[in-house]
This record gives sequence, C-alpha cells and structure tokens, in this order.
Amino acid sequence: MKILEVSNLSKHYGDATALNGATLTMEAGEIHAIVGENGAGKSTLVKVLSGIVVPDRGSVKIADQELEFGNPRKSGSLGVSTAFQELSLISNLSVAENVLISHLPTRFGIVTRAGVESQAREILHEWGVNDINVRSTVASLSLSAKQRIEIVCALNSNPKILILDEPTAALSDTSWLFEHVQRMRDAGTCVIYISHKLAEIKEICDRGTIMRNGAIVGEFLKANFNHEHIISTMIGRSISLAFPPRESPLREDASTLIEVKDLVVGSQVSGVSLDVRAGEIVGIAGLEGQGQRELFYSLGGAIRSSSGEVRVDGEVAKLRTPRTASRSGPGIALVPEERKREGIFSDMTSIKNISVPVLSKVSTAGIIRNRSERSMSRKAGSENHLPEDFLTRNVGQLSGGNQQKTVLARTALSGAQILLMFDPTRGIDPSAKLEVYSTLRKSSGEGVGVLLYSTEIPELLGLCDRILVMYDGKIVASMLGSDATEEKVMAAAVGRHSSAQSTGAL
Amino acid sequence: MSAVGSVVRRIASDGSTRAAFILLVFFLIWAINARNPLESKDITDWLVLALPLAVASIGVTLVIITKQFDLSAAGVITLTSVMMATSFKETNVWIVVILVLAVGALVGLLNGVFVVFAKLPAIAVTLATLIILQGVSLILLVRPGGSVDENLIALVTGSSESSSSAFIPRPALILLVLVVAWLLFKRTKLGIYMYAVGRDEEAVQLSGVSVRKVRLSIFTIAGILYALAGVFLAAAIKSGDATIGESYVLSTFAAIAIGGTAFIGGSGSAIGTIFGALTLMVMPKMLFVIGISGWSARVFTGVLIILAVLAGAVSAMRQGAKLKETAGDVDQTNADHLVEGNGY
Amino acid sequence: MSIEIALFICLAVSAITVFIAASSEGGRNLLRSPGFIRPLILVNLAIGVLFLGRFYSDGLPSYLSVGTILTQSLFVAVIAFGQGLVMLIGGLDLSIPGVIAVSATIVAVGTSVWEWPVLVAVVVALIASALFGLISGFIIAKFQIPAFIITLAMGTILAGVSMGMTFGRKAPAGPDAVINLFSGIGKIYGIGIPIFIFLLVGVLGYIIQAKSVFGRQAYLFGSSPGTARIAGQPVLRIEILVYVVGALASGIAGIMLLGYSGNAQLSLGDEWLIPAITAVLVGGTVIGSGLGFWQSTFAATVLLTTIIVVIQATGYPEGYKSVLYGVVILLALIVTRPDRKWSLAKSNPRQQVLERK
Repeated sequence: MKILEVSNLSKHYGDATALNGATLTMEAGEIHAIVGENGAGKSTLVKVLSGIVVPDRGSVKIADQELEFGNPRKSGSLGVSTAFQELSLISNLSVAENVLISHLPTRFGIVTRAGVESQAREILHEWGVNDINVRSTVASLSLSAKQRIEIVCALNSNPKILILDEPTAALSDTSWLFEHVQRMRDAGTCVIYISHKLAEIKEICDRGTIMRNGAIVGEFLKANFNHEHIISTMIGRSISLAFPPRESPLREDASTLIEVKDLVVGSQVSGVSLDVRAGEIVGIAGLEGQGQRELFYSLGGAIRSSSGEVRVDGEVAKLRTPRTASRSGPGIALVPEERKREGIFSDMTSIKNISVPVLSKVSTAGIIRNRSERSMSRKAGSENHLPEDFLTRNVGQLSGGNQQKTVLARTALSGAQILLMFDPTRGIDPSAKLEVYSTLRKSSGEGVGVLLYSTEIPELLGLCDRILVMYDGKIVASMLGSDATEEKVMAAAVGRHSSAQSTGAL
Repeated sequence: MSAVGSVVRRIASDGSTRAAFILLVFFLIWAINARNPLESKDITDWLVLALPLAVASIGVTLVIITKQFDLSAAGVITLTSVMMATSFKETNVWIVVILVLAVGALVGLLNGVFVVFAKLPAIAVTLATLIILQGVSLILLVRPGGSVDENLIALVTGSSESSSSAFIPRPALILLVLVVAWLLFKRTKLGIYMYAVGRDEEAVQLSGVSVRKVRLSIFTIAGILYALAGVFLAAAIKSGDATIGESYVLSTFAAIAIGGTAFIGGSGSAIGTIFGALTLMVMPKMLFVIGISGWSARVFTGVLIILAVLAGAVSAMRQGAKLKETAGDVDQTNADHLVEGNGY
Repeated sequence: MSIEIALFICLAVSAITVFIAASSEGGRNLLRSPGFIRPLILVNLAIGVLFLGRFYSDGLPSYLSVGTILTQSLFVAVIAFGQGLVMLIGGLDLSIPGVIAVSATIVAVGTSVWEWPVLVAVVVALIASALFGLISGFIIAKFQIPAFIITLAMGTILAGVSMGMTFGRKAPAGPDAVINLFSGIGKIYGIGIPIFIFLLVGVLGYIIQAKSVFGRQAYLFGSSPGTARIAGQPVLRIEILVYVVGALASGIAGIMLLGYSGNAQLSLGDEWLIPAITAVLVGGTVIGSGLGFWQSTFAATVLLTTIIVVIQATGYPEGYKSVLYGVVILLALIVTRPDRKWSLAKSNPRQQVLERK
C-alpha cells in the first residue's frame, strides 16, 4: 500500500538548489533508506515532510491526503514523526517533559511531575530504554542518551511515517534501534531511514533511494544491494566542475605558516596536529560534526582552545580572539560557516563590507576617505569576481555566491597569509563555485596557506595538496591530494581506517 | 568548614537562594537596629508596599523567562491604580477591578501582537506603551488625589481587622497565595512551554508547539498581573497618582535581578522575584536604621542592582561553560553564546 | 520678511530641489536614498505642523517660535546623537537623565561652591560623564547584560550622586558664561547662539556617525556583531566606546541644559530622554542594525520639538504629549521595520534558522 507520494518537490535557497523535482513513493511496512552526499537534499526533504520547510513547488500525499506545508502539527496529525539529526529536545526541561512535550498529560490543568514521570518512564520502558532517569534535565545527558530519547519520542507517537535522520550518529549500540525499527515496520509503519553508514542500511533497509543534487537518481532493493554501485550513483559524474589546476608545483622549501600540536577544544577536538605551508591547500574532510568547526574556529580565534600549541610562522601564538589571530604573524583569517550571522553585514553595501580590514588605511585622522575606500573595495571585489554593479547594493540582497565573494574580497584585503575556509562553497551556485576555486588557487599561488573544509569531497580532491580526514575530534587519515579518492576519504570519514574491512560503511 | 563552603556555594549559585539570603540579612539588620522592637504594624506596612511591586515584577519575570522584555509594567500599574482611585465612584468596586484587569490583559495582548506578529523589538514597543499609558493616566488624573474603596483597602491591607486577630498579615497571605499559584502555573502546559520557548525556540517549533501562542499568552498574563499590581497599589496608597509608576520601571527589573532571574531566557523564578521585591522594600528601612538615607540610599540601590545582575550573569556563564563540558555538541548554540560572551 | 513667506520659501526650495533631482538619473538615485529624502520630508513636515499651529495660537508661526524650536532641538539633538549610536548597536541608554544631572551639578557646584574656573568645571564634568559611560559600557559588553538594566541602575546611582553633591540644598545656579551661551540670551546677528550650536552639532554629528572610522565601526557592530568579531574588529572596545561617547553627549547636554534653565535641578534631564529616543526612531534608526542616518535623526529632532511647541500652544494637558510620543514611536517602528511583512502567513520568523541548519 502506498503511504507516501512525493511528487516533483523543488526548493531553492537563493540560487542554490536543495530539492530539484524530487519524486518518490513509499510503501507502508517498509524500511526505506535515503542515501546521498551532504547537500544532496535529504535533510531538506525531511524538513518538508515534517512541516518545517515550505517547498517552492510540488506536492506530498500521505495516505492519499494532501500535506499542508510548513506546519509541524499538520504533518504530525497526518502521521509523520521525525527524529531530527540536530535533535529537537529542549535542554532546560526534564527528560519526561521532553518525551511528552506535545501532549503533556494534565490533571485539572496541572502537569503533575509524578504523572509525567510515570507516563514517560512507561514509554521509555516500552521502547527498551531503562537506564535514563526521566527526572534529569536533558542538558545533563550524554549525546547518545539524547539521541535515544529523540528516537523514542518519534517512535512513540504511533506514526504512519517514521523519519530517522542519521539516527546512529551518536549511538554506539545500534541493535536497540534496529529491533524497534523492525517492530514498527512489522506493525505497518513506513520507516524512512537516512544514514551515511551503508553497512547499517544493508542490514536493516528493505529498499533505498539515492539522491544527488536535490533529485532522485537511483533506487535499490535489499536483494540487489551493491555497495560500489550505490556509491558511484551517489557521487555521480554529472557535474564535471573544472577545478583550476595548480600553476606551479608546491615548492619544496616552502616555509611552514602554521603548525598545530595536540590541539584540544572542549570535547569536540581531541588532540589534532597539523601544519600548513606557504602556497599549500590542505583539505579537511569528515562527516558533519566531527570537530571541524571547532578546529577552524579555535584556529581563527573565535573560540578558545582547551590545550595544545599553535605556532604561527614558527612563533607560539595565543589566538584569543579573531583580532589577535588576524594580527599574529602573517595573519590568520577565517571564512566562517554561517555566512548570514558571521560572514556578512547584510544591511550594508558591499563596499562597506569589503573595506572593513583596511578602514585605518583609507582614513585620515579618523575620517574615512570615501574615494580610496571605494577604489580599494572595487579592486578587491573585481579580483574576486564580484560584479561591479553590486558594490553599492546591500549585501543582504545579493545571492549566496555574491555574498561569499564579498566575504572573500574582505578576507583578501585583510592580507592574511593563512586562510581558514570553512565550507566556502556551501549553498552557492556552480558558476560562483568555480570563481571561488579560481580565487583559492590564485591566492595559494601567491604563497597563501589555505586550510579548507568542505562537505563536498570532490572539491577537496580537486583542490587540495593534502587531505586530512577528521573523525570524532581526531585526524584519522592523511593522504596526498594526488593519491586520494572519494572512497578512501569516505571510508576514513566514517571511522574506518583504510586498512579495515571492505563491507560496512560507505 | 567544607559544610560552610557548600552552603556558601549553594547561596551563590542558585538565584532564589541568593535572594532569600540577601533578604534575610537586610531584614535582620532592620529588625536588630530598629529603635523600637518591630511590631506587626511595621511588618504589615512593609508588606503592603512590597505587594504591588512583587506582583508586577512576577509579570515581568514571566516575560523575561520567554526571552523578551517588557517595560510597560509601570505604565499599566499607573493607569490601573489611577482608574481604581478616580472614575468609578458609583460603580461596584469589583466590577471596576474586573474592568481594570481586562485593561491590563488588553495592553499585554497588544504588546504581544506587536512583538510576535510585527516582529518589532519588545523593548521599543513596550517603551511606547509605557509612555502612552503614563500619558493617559495624566489625562485621567492631573493632580494626585481620588479615593479608593474601603472594602478593597481592607481586603488588601487587612486594616479593618483588629490587630490581634490577624495572625498573618493580609499582604503576606496574598503573597502566599501567589506563591502557590506560581508553583501550580509552573506545572501547567503553558508554564512548561514558557521555559521551553525561552531556552530553545527552534526545538519547541520542531516539537509542534506554537511559539507564538505561548508568547502571546505570556504577554497577556503579564498584563493582567500588572493590572492586579495596580489594584494593590491603589489600596496601599489609598489614592491615585499619575506619576507613581515611574519608579516601577527601575524597581521591577531590580526586583527580578535581585531575585536571581538571569536575563537570558529559559530560567527564572517568581519566588526569587518576590524575595527581590521584599528586599527592595526593606532596603530603605534597613538603610534608615543604620543611618544611611537620602542620596546614598539611591546609590546603594543602583549598586545592588548591578551587583545582582552581574552575579546572575556570571553564574549563568559558569553554567554555560559546565553545560559545554558535559554535554556533546547539541547544546552548542546556548553554551557557546554564554561562554564566548567573554571571549572577545 | 514675514515668517510665513520665509517658511513658504523653504517649502518651495524643497519642492524645486525634488523636481530638479527627479529629472536626472543621478538625482533620482539621490531621491531614493533614505539619507537624503527622509530628512527633507521630516523638515517639511515640521514646517507644515508649524503652520497648523495657527489654528490654536496667533503667535504661530513666528520667528520667536522658530527660535524656540531650534534652541530646544539642540538639546534633543545632542542627546539623540549619543542615544542613536547606542541604539544602533542594539542597546538603550536609560542613564541619560542621571548623567545630565551629574554633569550639570558638577559644573554648577564646581563653579559656585568650590570656585573652579568654568573651563575646569566643564572638563571635569565631561571626564566624569565619559567615565560613567565607560563603567556601564564595560559591564554591558563584557558580561552581555541587557543595556537598559545596567543604564537604568547607573541612572539611579547618578541621580543619587547628584543629590549628594548638592547636599540637599537648593539647586545651584550655573556659571554666567554657560548661561549666556545656551539660554538664548546671547545672540549673533540677532540669532540666538544655541541655533548656531545646533547647526554645528548637526555637522559634527554627521562627520562622526557617517564619516569617521568610529562611526563606521558602530554600524558594523550594529549590523552584525558576529561578523564584526570574525572580521577582526575590536568588538569589545567598539561597544564600550559607543557607551562612552553616548555618555559624553549626555554630559555635554547636561551643561547646555544647565545654561538653558539657569540652575542644576535634579530633574534637568528627565523630560529629554523620551524625545531623544523618539527622534532616533522617527529618524529611521533600527535598533541593532546597520540602518540609520544621523541627518534623519537630526531632522526628526526639529519635527518633534515643533510638535511639542504646537501642542503647548493648544493648551492640552501634559498627558497628551506622552500619548503622542508613544504613538509616534509605535508608528515609526512599524514604518521603518526592516521586515516589512506582518507575519500572519505560514512562515515563522525562526524558519530560516531551522532551514539553515
């Protein structure tokens, strides 16, 4: 029986495509995997189904009823229940309150502690979770406990469609999850299972859909599960982005710009060592949330490290703030993850966005000289392929790609010789990506050292001299750009070193 | 020694406990240094003045728990107390009370609509409502005056009873009722959602609970509480004064700060706020008996508020840091914000 | 020349300016920029309101009333300059009346009781004001505490301090030099000195807010503190400095008001706080943003004082003034809010945050 019909779903953010005419159907009583690279559109699909994202086009039918978009409660009432990857638990409430959040039991209008707790305990017990105290606040729990509660919340609402988005990201023991997922399937629920770990998918899923660039590009059945085929379909060869080649080989005697030893940042980065030489592009790969952000932000001075040593140009550097980072040695600049919040001044013009690092240079006695500000910004903007017309527009009105070019122009003006680029091409259109690549190449050609994180592995393969793979806060693999393949990187990214067995995760 | 240390640590870390401790110290200084032994009348006078402040500050506390601000409390208090003292001489006082509470609800609702639907900054919107309400009060009552219904005064202050029969002063009784109401409210759905919205709006939205409805309800309830405070204030001063509310702008936030509610959303307690209001009102008496009065009392108040807010902020930061250590990367946004607060 | 004709000429000049501008491409761009068109509209509105005053008082409009309006605009403008910067970076300074009182008291008591030279008293008052701003700003920036609470408390402390400095005696009189400058008695070419100072404040304010590195940094911080920080700006210093400059402006206003009213009453600054906030909002500054123009705020001070002068002529009670301020603030907020939609539609304000994750 068809339970879910998704037809022609599209969603664009600016000029980036998240969903591009996705069409698929799912049956009741199956466990249906959705696989794809980061940015393939899986999460957006989940969010459309859960009522968080309103698509630009397309429709969704659940058990023959049209889904009204953008309302989590409507989705819930049609029987969609989701365990989110980023978890929807509220940290200052107790476990019990979280479990029952949308249907808190009341007695004369009062939610009695005993009532909630006994009911929540019962629910957790029913789903085989006995080691979590329902009374404790969520903030005090470990990540894996939180993930289990998130899953129980989704399981417990008796859904027609159960969506599990990376449910095992923090789970060490998957048998608990699999047992209940199968129980749900046998009771007629359609389970949508999203994971990077192909071994799990092979073990538990009946059927699978492969996504790429927001579209459905393939399907597979448990019976004909073929690891290599799935991966090659996922990666695809459809976008053949021309990565600009290195103009001259990396010089043997290039000096080391930044050297990191045993860096620890909270619980997210546990002992990372790396170095970047002048003119080198070093790539960092890894699944999301393996400590990349914390590594980049602590090197950029945006968050404090707990221990470890960073040497910039041979001298020990204290990177307390982004300002001190920008002033240590040849200068460190961070191209941040959240462009809107940390990358741009959205209600100011590109000129003013770009000129930030050179304000003192373009001013006399504290007064800004408009003409020199404009000419410096224009030069930096055009070097970064920002169309001249956009210079006087507010950056918030520009497309993601042009916003990012503004950020890069500012970074270039800062004169920093060490660039920390955190996923600089996220959410920007292909042509803008190409321009970002060429900018990157150009600056590395001029002796700038780049540390590049990207969720898109082909990018790292196409640009980097070396690729380091992070997993669980550590660097688990290091390879030369010329030796690296997408399979090798992925294998390390899911925690399997290249020597490990060949089945298992992707 | 370690026992003392742990007590000190507990007082320092929990907002309400800290507030209770400050209150106790101030009260004792007042009681011990008073020229004559304290009589029940002294206590009642103190409580009668603290009551309206406490009620209004509880309203603001609710709004702050949802991570918003409300400066309009002082305006509603002024208007409603003026209304109690002026217009409705022939009308039954209880009808006036209901009317006044409805006015409070309406103002709160309007604040909420501007903040939730028009997405205007709460601080500017409620500043505007504050000014408007103060203006309306001045139009209603140009010079202080008017009179307040005797029954109402008796009910709030307990003044008609012979002093021997009143075991607990009436305002204390009302405060006790408020504490019970608060404890119950905290356990209603709205009460739980209130804390949830203040901590993590996105997660609440994901859970399918309407953040807007929660915010609107809380603004409205707060408005009702301000109006109730106005009723109590009218009974306490037995007349109306269109300028009396001005001091409430500061003192509501002072009561909340001293009461240990941090201004970060998702945490706070009405009980702490009641302690804060009692502290604020005992402070002039305490300062008077030890010979500080006039201008230095004002300075003292200001410094105390700043210290209280600082204590709250520092302990919130520390908790944020702790959260970050124990928890994984999920609570990042909150913890990061707090920890990075002093990062730059 | 009669005042009516003079005001008509002002209106006509504005109209002709707009007309000429609309005929060329560059001019049309100028007309589209809020930094140009908004002050123009506000000033012309003020002239219109002044004409309306004729219905209530035969004394309106007159050169005298224009003089009064511009003189009072001076105080609103000076305060609004500081408040505007603070609001731009997302704060709200409620300590202004306190700073005004202390600064005025220092000058008055300093010259009359301690017999300081006027200049010394003025310098001491300004240093003290800056210091208060430094303290508030440091606490706000370092501990991320809502600005209005700290400034409210600071205001209380300062009110206490200025009470203490007068020792409960009658409000001390200001020095003659200051009174001559700001009371409007002193005149140059028949025009009151405060009006010249008002224009000077307009120019200085523009240079600082729109042209200086400091002003730019305030905009950057207001637009996005996170970006400013990542981009290597000294965010802590910027935030503190804005409060220092804000308090300094209030301190200057305190001295001016001392001259205007003759003596340092405790309540000297009370009635100027709300007009200043209103002027900032009417001028189109959005709290915590990169949006706002000093020239608009400056023009708004004229409009607001005109409205007040006219209202006073009508003889309505004081309360109406407050109501009007409140309504004007609300209207200004609604008209200038960056997100123009009333969010009755399905999308919720947080959706974007969720989508981005």
